[in-house]
Amino acid sequence: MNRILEKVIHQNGTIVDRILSEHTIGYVVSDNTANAVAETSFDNTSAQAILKHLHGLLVSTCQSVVRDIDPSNKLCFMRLGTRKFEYLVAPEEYFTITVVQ
Amino acid sequence: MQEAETDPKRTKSYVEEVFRKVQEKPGVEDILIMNHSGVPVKTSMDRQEGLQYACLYDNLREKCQAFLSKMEPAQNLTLLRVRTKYHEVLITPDAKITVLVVQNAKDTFLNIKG
Repeated sequence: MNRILEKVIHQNGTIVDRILSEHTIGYVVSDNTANAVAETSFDNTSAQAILKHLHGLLVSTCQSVVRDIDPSNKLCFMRLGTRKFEYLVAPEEYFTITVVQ
Repeated sequence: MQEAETDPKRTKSYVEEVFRKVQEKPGVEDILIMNHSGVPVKTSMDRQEGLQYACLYDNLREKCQAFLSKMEPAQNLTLLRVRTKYHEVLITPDAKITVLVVQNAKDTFLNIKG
């Protein structure tokens, strides 16, 4: 799975560079099946914290909230804004991508 | 709305003002304003739908705030934006009230109209 991800990131290199060029502090890409960090620019501790709490807990909670209100609806994107940072979370079928800016 | 963090005054006229100003924005479908206990005080939804949104999204907001307080450094949630297939939900927590807005999504991620 990680090999496929590296291939995808390489193919979308320009998009990745654009995402990382301005105001971005870092990013985490996690594998949903293995529940592990697939790609990250943070150190391991920060990446694991984001993976465990943000991808694991908040995304599933938000998905269940959306499904409770309308079963045909689906969570596409999620943004958490604070004073200093903003977490942009994109849950996909196999990967979950988080950018901190 | 994020000003005067020390015991801000959130009177009924303030809530009415917030409601009126948000209603003027284009693309807004529903508005829901809750107090700090999660009880809806003013809404444009019907009663049952408003209670459901208030209960579910307030629970999500609490979890987000708990998550952010665990990070280093600890942070306070100022805006939560949830993009779903059909619309977009914005939650703005304050010291005493929480404003929840359901609007048509402005991005081009999906063009599905429910």
